[in-house]
Amino acid sequence: MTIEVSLTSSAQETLRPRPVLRAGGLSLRRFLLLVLALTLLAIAADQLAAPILQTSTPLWAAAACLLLIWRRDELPSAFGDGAFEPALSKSRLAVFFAAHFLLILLARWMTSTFQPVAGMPTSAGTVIAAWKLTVLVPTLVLLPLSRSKELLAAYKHEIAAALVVLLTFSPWRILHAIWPWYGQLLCRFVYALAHFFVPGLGYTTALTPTVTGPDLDITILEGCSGMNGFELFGYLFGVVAFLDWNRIRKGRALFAYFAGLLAMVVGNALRITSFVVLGNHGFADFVLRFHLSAGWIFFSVLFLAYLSLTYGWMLKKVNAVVQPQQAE
Amino acid sequence: MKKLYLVACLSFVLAPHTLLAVPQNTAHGNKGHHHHGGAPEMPGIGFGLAAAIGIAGYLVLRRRHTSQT
Repeated sequence: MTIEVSLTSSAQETLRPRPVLRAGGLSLRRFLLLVLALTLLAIAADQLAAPILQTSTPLWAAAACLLLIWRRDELPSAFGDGAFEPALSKSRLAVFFAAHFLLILLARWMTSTFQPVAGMPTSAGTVIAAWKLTVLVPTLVLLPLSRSKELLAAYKHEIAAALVVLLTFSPWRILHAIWPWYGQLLCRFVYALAHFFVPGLGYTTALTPTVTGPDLDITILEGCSGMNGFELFGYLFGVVAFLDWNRIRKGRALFAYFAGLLAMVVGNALRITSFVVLGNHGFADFVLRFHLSAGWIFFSVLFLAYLSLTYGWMLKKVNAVVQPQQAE
Repeated sequence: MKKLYLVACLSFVLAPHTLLAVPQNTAHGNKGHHHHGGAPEMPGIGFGLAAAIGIAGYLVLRRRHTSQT
């Protein structure tokens, strides 16, 4: 048992320490950490044995869930009585490994069929991408599903974070699918902004559209889509979430994450606009030489600017203990 | 510190393959004196530098915020 004293604004409350039982929570946490570690290893083995299954998002999602549960220091209330002692039975482990083995066999068997369409921005490619996520399914065998409601309630934030990671940490597939539409939108946005500063500007519509200027033409490739900034933001925000997991308000952090992704996309459009404007005002060589490295620095600075605006808002308020001095 | 080290190791292991990708071919041909630019995906070094700047900035922000509260 651990006794913790919480900070409160009331002087009277500070005199009464709040006991926090930890035995049950810690036991469950260890169990979940073990399950997630096994999941990580099994997925890595799957991808090694059957390369057609390779995708980083299930690994990231399992790792995110593991790290956040590890960081968490609160006791899940539903399991706080210590009555629930989960254990990994041999039969469950056997089913878990057998399911992964079958998945590997199936993937290797279907490789020649799936290989031509895997990674393609088509509906068949999307189905295969979704199928790769089935490497997470055998983990359900290890979880105590009879207590799934309590489990979900206790670790809903960590599970939600893992789902967000699973769905947003690899945006390239989505980009490939929407590029014909998004590329045009990005080009038109850049043109609409830049033509106020550069007379004689035009644009050509193609799969890789080009903003044409008097001195410099900018072709907008998929690599210019802002997905690099999108990914960078995801990783950096992940570090923030990990280190401050016990201090941030989860709902606000989720909102800040998605708003930040949007900010990166808009920021990228402004970045390309600046290339067009500078490149057509005598800085063409400078733009050609530094547009790659400057892009990364730009995204990094944009992240820091965004974080400095939202960081305090995301954190839980900690009330300082003020002892009122009474006049004798 | 131990946890940070573990995160660094895990990030290294999980580093997505896209960050190690070879830059796409951007040769579109110049027309006369005209320049032509594109911004393809850049491999690891740029990302690493940007990530280092981002994390360093965040840690400074975090320390300043902690000292204020």
